[in-house]
Amino acid sequence: MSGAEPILTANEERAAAALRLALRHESEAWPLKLDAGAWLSGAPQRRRIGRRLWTGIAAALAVALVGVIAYTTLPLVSPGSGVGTTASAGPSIPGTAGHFDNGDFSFDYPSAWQTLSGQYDETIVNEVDAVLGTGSWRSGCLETMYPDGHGNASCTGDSFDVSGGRVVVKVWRQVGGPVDLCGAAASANATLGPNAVLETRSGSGATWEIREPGGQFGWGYNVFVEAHTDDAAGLAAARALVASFRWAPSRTNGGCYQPDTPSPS
Amino acid sequence: MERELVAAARLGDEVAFARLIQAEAPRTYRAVLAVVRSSEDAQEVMQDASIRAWRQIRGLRDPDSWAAWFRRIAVRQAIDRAARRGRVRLREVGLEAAEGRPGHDPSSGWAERASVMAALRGLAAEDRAILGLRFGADLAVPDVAAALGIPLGTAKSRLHRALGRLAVAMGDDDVRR
Repeated sequence: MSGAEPILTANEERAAAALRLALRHESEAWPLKLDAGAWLSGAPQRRRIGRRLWTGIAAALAVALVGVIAYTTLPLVSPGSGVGTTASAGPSIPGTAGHFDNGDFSFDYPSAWQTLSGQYDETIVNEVDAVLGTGSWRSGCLETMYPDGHGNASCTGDSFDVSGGRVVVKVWRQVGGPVDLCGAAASANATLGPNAVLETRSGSGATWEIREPGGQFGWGYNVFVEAHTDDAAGLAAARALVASFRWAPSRTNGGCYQPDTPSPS
Repeated sequence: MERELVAAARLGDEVAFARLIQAEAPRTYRAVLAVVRSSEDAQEVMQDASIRAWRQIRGLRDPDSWAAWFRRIAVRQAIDRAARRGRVRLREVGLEAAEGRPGHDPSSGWAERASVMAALRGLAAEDRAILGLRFGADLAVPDVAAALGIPLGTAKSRLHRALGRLAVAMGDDDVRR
């Protein structure tokens, strides 16, 4: 035992020993069997994605075009880059509300909106949970399929068509990758419903970062709601979506994410 | 050796990556098992974590942080899985799941092990994660902190509280039995 170990009571010692034994026994009774075929394919090849993963991505990105896509993107939110402070008593969803709930969080949206995409892994760092709206959208991720069933993913930027007062809202999270997610935390600059958020405007669109409970702006696993529209009503509907956003009670942030922090020993 | 394997895996060497997984996965599996309390779920979490790690390993610039990095991915996915499962119980480990299980021998301490796993059910997933890393994966507390991405002091306090809650839950279970 090192000096970092808590001092345990007799009951705690007993519980710890019993837990250690139980987990060891359970893992031996049901030994781990990984399907190495999910990533192994024989000869090393740079940036290859396993067949199972590829299948999942391909299914999720069935709408993605293979070819050259002209794209436009909103700049990603950077802490502190928000413009001005806005406050809202809680905008409401216009018309009938649809409801999104993935077990991690939920929100309402106008039922007239279409589901343009469900959950998919966008890059090595981002997971998209939903793309909704009245406009058209195409993923900026291009997939190349090899004959052996593996593929490359190359993501540049999505393309949106929100002309004529249409709107597209993309809800995504940063879940990993080579990004320092422990930078100086920014303060909220807007309040939508009960949610203190970090709002960044870009033209007539906006992005709102919503902190995971216990987390800070700029940390991993926060949710970004990205609204693309040239219409004030569309932006208001997106604001209402953010105002209705709720984390599942079980969600809590385990701390900022530093992928390059050496493991102390 | 691990540094070389990480460097090779970052360049796309799948065999090197597989060796890294083979070395680390068994102990991480025990931690994941504590969180999800179901061997089927634990297997799936480990599979998904391995795939995710493969996809993201190019972003791991410091080879020395490989193990903590992988554990964090796996435990995070386990916590997410547990949260999504909610009250849904598959083949949880417990007294009611005794028959047909390997090692089900009442004279070999099986009941106590089942009691421990049943006691875990009453703890939050984050508590199970820290207990699983410390007593399942047999990590020192600083390594537990690294795997969870939390300060050492926070890890110590969380571990102590979680262990206390487990001890109480086990005591309650003893009373019921």
